[in-house]
Formats: sequence, structure tokens, C-alpha cells
Amino acid sequence: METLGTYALVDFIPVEPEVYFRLFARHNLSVWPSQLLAVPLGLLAIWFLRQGQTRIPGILLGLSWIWVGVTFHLMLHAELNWAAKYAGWIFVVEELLLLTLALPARPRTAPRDRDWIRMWVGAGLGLLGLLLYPLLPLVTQLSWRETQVFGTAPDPTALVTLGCLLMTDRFTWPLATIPLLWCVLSGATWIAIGWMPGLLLPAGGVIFIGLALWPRARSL
Amino acid sequence: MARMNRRSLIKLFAAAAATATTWRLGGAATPDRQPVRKPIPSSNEALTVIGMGTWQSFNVGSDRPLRDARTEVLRAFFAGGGQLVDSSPMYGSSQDVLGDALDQLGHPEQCFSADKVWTRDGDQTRAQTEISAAKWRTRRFDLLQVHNLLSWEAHLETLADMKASGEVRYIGVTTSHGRRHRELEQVMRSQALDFVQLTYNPVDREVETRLLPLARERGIAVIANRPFRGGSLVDTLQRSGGPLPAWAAEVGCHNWPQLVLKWIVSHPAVTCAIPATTRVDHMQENMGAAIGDLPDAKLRARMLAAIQAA
Repeated sequence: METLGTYALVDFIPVEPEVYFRLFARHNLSVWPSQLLAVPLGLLAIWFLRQGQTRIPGILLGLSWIWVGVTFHLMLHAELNWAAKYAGWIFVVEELLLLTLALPARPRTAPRDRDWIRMWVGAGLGLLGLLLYPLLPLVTQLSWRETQVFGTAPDPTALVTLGCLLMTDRFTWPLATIPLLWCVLSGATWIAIGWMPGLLLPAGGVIFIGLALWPRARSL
Repeated sequence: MARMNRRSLIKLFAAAAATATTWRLGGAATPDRQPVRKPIPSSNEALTVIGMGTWQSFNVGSDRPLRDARTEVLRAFFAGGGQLVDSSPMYGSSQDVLGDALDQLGHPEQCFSADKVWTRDGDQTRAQTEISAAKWRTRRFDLLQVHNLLSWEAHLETLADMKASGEVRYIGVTTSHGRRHRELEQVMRSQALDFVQLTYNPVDREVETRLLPLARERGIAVIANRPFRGGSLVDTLQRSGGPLPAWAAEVGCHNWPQLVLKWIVSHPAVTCAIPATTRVDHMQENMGAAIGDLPDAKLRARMLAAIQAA
């Protein structure tokens, strides 16, 4: 441990930036056209949460995490980075945790008692992950092929999940721990690689923490 | 005479341009331009002073176009007279990509294969070596090193047995980033090592005081890793270093990377340096540093001053 301080962030990244971006391109090609299905399903999850329902969002988010964990981390990323296999299994654990959202919920909270700030900011983070994240190649030097889409790439999946968790008060922290951990790991990777748009995810994580810690409105 | 079509002409011009570039960068080894070699102290076998690292640069997974591009980098390395190629089980898919490239190049005899053992489990030395050899698609490594001194006691014991039975030709230990120098010194004093790998470049010079003199005293070959500090040293020199001093050409250096490499490998204790690259032109530049005489102590001091002033 005494030697940890002698490492730079980049020393933990075993690939060149070009290879990391091409990883997304190769993955996009291998799972095409699941991206076309994933985004509408993400929108559906947000719509159900807006209605106060958690069962279908829990299933949809869970499926997206296991899909990313297996097809991205375990099948492709792990050949470049030995740590990715652990990330893959952590994504599978998050899938199992998210399925608990699908368990029978307590009666819906009355609309007047709902926390509208969390609801709207959560939906905003979700829409950011679903609609803006895939557009990031437009503002960078990346190819469209290297885009990151919810349900197939880890960062937008984590961002949408955090947004969805803000929209519900069920199991917030246990379910948010792994997405927040991914915010830290992925943010560090993007800093080391020098791709600043990647910091959108950790920024979303900070917003999530701020709002999740904010005292909830009391029932009248 | 066969008619020359447009495609043949383009190929001809491309080949001519590539040859001209290679010559300009000084990377091609020809009968009258052989790279400088230094002896491995424990055997006197000569080794080209510029080797090749594979950390990050060869970790491209199953990406076929990138694998082919790395094969060309390795081809340029061998064309420049390079020998020592260094990898590790820690480097993701690098060993496998290297094996693929060596297969495509027909496993050149000049290749000096250097790999590492990287596991906390001291009983896994042979098992991990077998996996690594399968990835390299080779039967036997020339050099096996204990990566970052991880469980070095147990691994070195097995490696010594393997050397005695002819399963490997040379053994050693590695460290990088200037870490654990005190422990490395103890290992160098107490163990029978052929090689030691450490970080040495014009910025990281701590090894000059104790470790490099000790390597000479103990007859241990030295591999210098991170010669460009992960690329940052060359980036700095090329961005703010200005033009190369006019006298650099006298020592056969045509660019900053060559000046840095030649300075490193001209230390009497250093056997070779192992820069890593993903580009053929950079590999040709690197190999150019092995051509021509090595500078003496006076000229080394001048080179260091120029690098530090840049």
C-alpha cells in the first residue's frame, strides 16, 4: 500500500484510448440492433415510474444491467482488462438487486405527497442518459460507431438507473451503491484517457447523492 | 516486360516512400548499419540495445485490424535489428496479440522472448508460465522475470530450478516507477539473477546511485523500462523542447526520442531499453537509436543537459 501513491491514474488503464473507444464500436456491432430496443424500453421505465409503478422498471433496468455485464464486460472488455470480469459480475449483482424493485410495493404515494424535485430531476437524468449520451460523439472526435447507448453500454445504463432511483423511494441506497461505484471507476477511466464528456456520469452521480440526501417532503 | 498499371505504380511509390522514411528515421538495419549490441553479463550473449515493451500498446484484444497493425510494428522492430520483446500476464491480451503477430512473422529467430510471472501464489510459477507460453505460441522463453517482485522468494526458487533444467535460459526480477528499490537491492545482492528490470530515464535517475553500480558489480543485465515515462517525456520534449541541438546528429540522433534512448542505453550498466509504441514510424525512430556509436560519459552529460534544458 505504501507504493500506491507512486501510481498515476493512467497506470491503472491497460489500454490505449483508441482501443478503449473501439471497444464500444465493436460491442455496438456485436449487439446490434438491441440498441434500438433498449432506448424505448428505458423511456417506458421512466414513464412507469412517473406513474408511481416500480415493477416493470425494476425488470427493465435489471435486464439492461445483466445485458451490459455479460455482453460488454465479460465477453469483450475482460479480454483487455483483467478487472473487467469483476465489473461484469458486479453488474450481474446489480441486476439481481434491481429485480427487487419488481417486488410488490406498498400502496402508491398520493401525488400531493410526492417529491416533485426528485421526480423531475430523476426523469431529467434518465432522459439525459437515454437521449443525450448517445449524441456525445457529435461534440467530440468520436465516430458514431463508438457511441454509448443505454442498455448496452455501462455509463448511460448507470446514469439512467440513478435517475430512475431518484424517481422512487424504494431501496434507494442499496440499489444505488453499484451505479455510484461505477460512476467513480468510469469517471477515473475517462480522466486517465482524457475524454472529458465521460464526466457526465460522475456529475450525474453527484446530483443523485445531493438529492438523495436532501430531506424528503413530509406528508401532510 | 509486364505492363505497369496504376495500382503497381502506386505500390512502387508507396514502397519507395516507406523505404525513404525508414532511412530518414534511421530505423533499418542493413549489413553496414548494424544495431549496437551489448553482452548479457552472465553469458556474454549479445543483445540489441533497443528492445520493445508491450504494456498498453499490444493490448488490443480480438480487434483484427488493430492486431494486424501491431504485427507491422513488430515487423519494423525486427527489421531494425530488435531482439528483446517484453510482456506480462498482467498486460491484458498483449501476450496473445504478440503470439498472433509472431505467428504471422514466422517466429523470427532473432526474437528474444522476455515474459513475467505475475501471481501471488508461489506455487503457480510453472502453471502460469505454460499459459503465457501458449499465448506467445512458443515452447520456451528466453527470459522469465518476477513481475514487480510479487511473491519473489517462491517464484525465484522455481525459476532457478527451471533454468537449471533448461526450461528457461535467463531469470530475473522487475520493478517500475521507482518502487521498492530497497527490496530490489536486497534481491540483487542475495539472489543469482541474470536480469533486473527497472525504470531509468533522464528524469527518473535514482537507480544511478546504488542499483546500476550494483548490477555491474554483480554481473546482472539491466532492462530499462518506461524510457519515455509513459510517453509524457517525449511529449514534453517535442512540444517545448524546440529543435534538436545540432551536435545530436554527431551521435546519430535525429529526434528527441532517439536522444533519450541513446542516453539511457549508453549507461555502462544498462543492457537495453524497452520503449513501447503502437506506430510503425515511432518504432523506426526508436530502432534508429540503436544505430551508430554510443556516446561516452562526457557526451552523455551534454545530452542530459540538453534534455533537462528543453
